[in-house]
Amino acid sequence: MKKILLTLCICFATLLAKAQLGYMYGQYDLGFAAALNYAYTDAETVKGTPAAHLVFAYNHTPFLNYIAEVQFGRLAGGDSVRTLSGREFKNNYTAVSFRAQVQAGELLRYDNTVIMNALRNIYVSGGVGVIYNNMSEINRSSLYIPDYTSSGRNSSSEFFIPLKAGYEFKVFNSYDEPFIKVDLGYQLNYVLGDQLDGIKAGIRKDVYSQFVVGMRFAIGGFTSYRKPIRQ
Amino acid sequence: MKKIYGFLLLALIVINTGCKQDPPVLPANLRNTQLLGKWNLAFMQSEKYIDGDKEPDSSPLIGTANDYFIFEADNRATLSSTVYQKLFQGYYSANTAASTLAFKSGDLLIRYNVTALSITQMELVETINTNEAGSSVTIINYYTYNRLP
Repeated sequence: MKKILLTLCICFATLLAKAQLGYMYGQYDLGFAAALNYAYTDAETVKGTPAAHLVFAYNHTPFLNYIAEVQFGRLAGGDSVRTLSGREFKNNYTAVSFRAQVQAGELLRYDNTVIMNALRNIYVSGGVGVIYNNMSEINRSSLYIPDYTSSGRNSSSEFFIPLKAGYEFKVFNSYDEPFIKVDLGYQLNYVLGDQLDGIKAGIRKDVYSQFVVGMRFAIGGFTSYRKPIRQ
Repeated sequence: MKKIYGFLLLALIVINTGCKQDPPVLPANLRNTQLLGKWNLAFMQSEKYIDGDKEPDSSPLIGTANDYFIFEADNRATLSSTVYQKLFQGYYSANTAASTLAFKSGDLLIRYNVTALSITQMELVETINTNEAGSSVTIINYYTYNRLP
């Protein structure tokens, strides 16, 4: 009798375990991304430049993520020959930031329609960071208007506010756990200073935007979520 | 569903308000509205010093219809000179506090001290330092420009 009861208990436990599939996710991700930067500064023209990101994420839930990010990249802008101000810069920068990211799936029901299911991966994100600027090339003086020059620093560090919106595709394994996330996003980085271009002028602070494509891989800390992640 | 619209609206606001550049504005200390207009050269007098010794004065150059300065509001300037035998299109900057005027066109850069400026007359002094055959040469040009009121 005991053997029969034990066998039945094991069978029921297996059923329960199967019912939990599709609710599990990894709490920790490691990943990387590539970005195309555009700097909006005191320089008169805008140029696209590349950047690479290293990303570590703590997933409080599959749709609420805390992300630490290190960026290595270039920012550039201006034209010393074709603009009156002569402002031109190239900045080899490093940036560290922390963001909280909320996906729509955390806030709405996505199990009832195909559209809502698709929209659950839309996210917005905000945080704070520090950017370390290092001008590899800089021109602050006009070639045309005598004595028209600007001040600025070749090296500086400034705080910035990253704001990002995008979509996170989830790739599931055979246990319906999201183990790869593909990120497509647009990020605006509001610099709390005016030295992103090494040129101090005007009244606006500097901003740089990024088109980001990235991937994150679940590396551990698997736990369960209150509703199915994959529909 | 309303929550997702809120998400999208926030994203749109972020995107549209983010990227505006600071247009470059010429600082006030490089502009002088008193200069605006066309100035005709009345005459130019030169002094030459070799190793500090003054050379005899030459005859003043009387300005012709082809000797003038034009200063415009966006710091554009035109210099027409029979001395250079050329018309130069370029830019100027004028520091009111220091009473200086600079004109640049390509490789040509001329700096003046403004010794007098009124509605109808402007006096400029240009100092050129060179070396000739091992001697230090200083040429000081005194320009008097008139402007029709």
